[in-house]
Amino acid sequence: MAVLEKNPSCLRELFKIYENISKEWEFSADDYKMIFESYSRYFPVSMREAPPDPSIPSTSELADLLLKCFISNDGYSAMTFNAMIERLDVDSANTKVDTTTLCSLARIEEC
Amino acid sequence: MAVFKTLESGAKAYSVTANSESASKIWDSLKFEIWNGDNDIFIQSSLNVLTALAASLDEPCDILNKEASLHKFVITCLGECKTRILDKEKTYLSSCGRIFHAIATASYHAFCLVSKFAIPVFDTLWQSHNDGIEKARVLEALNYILEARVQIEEFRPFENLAQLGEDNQRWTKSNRDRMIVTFKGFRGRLLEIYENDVRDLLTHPGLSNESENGLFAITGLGSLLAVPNYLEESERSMIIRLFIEVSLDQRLNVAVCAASSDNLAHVTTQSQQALRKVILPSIMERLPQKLSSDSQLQQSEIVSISAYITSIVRIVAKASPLSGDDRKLNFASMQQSLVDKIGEVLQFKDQAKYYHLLLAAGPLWFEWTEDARGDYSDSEVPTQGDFGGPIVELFRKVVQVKGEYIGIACDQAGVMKFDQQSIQLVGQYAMYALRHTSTNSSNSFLLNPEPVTVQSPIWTLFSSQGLDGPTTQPDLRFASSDKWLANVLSMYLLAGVKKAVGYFLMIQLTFTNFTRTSNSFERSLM
Repeated sequence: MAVLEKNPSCLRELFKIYENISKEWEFSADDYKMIFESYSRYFPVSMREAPPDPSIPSTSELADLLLKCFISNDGYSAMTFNAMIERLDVDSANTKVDTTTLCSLARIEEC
Repeated sequence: MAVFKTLESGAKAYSVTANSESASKIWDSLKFEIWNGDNDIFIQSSLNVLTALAASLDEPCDILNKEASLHKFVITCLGECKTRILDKEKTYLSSCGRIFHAIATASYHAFCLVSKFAIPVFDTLWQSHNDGIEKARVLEALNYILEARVQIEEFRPFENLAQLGEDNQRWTKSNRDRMIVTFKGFRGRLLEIYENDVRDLLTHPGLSNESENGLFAITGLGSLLAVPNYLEESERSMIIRLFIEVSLDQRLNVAVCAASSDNLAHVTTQSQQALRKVILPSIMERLPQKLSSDSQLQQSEIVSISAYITSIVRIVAKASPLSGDDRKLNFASMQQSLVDKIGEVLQFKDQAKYYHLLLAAGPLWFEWTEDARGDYSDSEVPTQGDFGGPIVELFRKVVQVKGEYIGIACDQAGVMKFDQQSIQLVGQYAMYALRHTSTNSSNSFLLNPEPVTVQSPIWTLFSSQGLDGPTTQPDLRFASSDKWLANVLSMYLLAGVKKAVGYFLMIQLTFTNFTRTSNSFERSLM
């Protein structure tokens, strides 16, 4: 159900469902992994433009709801930490590459 | 940033078991960001994650159990930091200090572990150095531990203690007691290190320009003062006197002097008594009785006096007392000391430059505290606002009733004690006080003079009734020079009046007097 979902209003409800079921029920390790992969694909939340309709959730609202999914159950802890650490290394490298590229374009040698 | 936020939130939300499984992995990933990173936002975010992790690992256990989650995590982090410091002290000392701070502020237990490990390491390093710059680097790192000790008092689990289980309540209380005892064990040594450095500075003031040694030493002493119930009274007094000496020593770097003044301001915030009984008297006793007649000597005296008075004003202005009552008392203490000094100086001739400096303190304080306003308790709305007492006393020194008019106070030979510049300063002072945000129609010293049997020299400036006969004050056609000067004061008082309904009557009465005066003056020109 969640694989192709892109509508922010639907995602809001989806993230709430993930959070609630994770808090209330116990799952097997495989189930935790499956649920984790369902919502973690949306990290980090980003939208092309701010929603015109105030009833549609904003980026920050969805990001908060997504965060609650990550921390809703200990079963996600190892996967969460691993995923974030990986992103940290990748993002850090990307930032440095972007900076170097920019400096090259601007012909700034000090970068 | 979303990554750091998720890591931090996860560390706070997951259980001890879940966190301890990933703790070393998280540490391995973040440590390089902290040690080698150049983006301070990322570095601080990494430190926040470490704090959250250390806090989450704190659970009731046998203190001696080295396999306990928090113990293992902290010892791993501290051990690796120590290796880095010993390997390349210059590169890693500061960043490791920040790591120690992040972990130490996580919980009382964490602080115990960090302080027991880190303080002896820094002590050994400090002793091994002779160079001021290297010693400064060690003090900078040690200051992180002291800062953690001060900040952990703000981390008050006691407020939420009732929400914890019994086990956790006992655990937290016993850890807090252990933290207090552990840190007290370092008291003598820490005092010795910091006092040593400050006294070194006073002996070799040039050092303060070469390194930040002085600055870190002053900051550290300030932190030691800020730890509640830590120092003996004699030790507190010793540190306060050191701060006073440093803040007034013009040979020292400006930043070091200012840091000392800021610490004295902080002391004043905590204790109005310290200001009244120690700080103000110590600084005031350094002011000379009078200016020398030798012009060169006089010049250096003026520089010193200016520095002393500026220091007093800075301390009182920067102190941020919790209540308007304390702010009023602080200001009143300062101003009373200065007004008393003016009285002493006035006994000597040719001291105009001296009391100009003393008079300028009031307006300077107002400039530095323009937006500051204290809140008063309901039962204690001051009758004369924050400033009435000292200003009225100043006016009584400056203004003198002379039969049919009000003029400026004169000496026995009939020479005015105050010149034009002095009158301007007094007037400015009164104007700022009247315009201050805390002054209103019910506490303005101008509209609510204290009941006196003799007419107040302030509001009689506006009096439309004669003193010993017909009115002459507003009529400036017949005036000696000091009457003009006294009326300059009344102009400042008028300028201080706020545009509020309650002041309307005041403005009306005054306008009537001045209209009459200006009409008379215009007629005299025709």
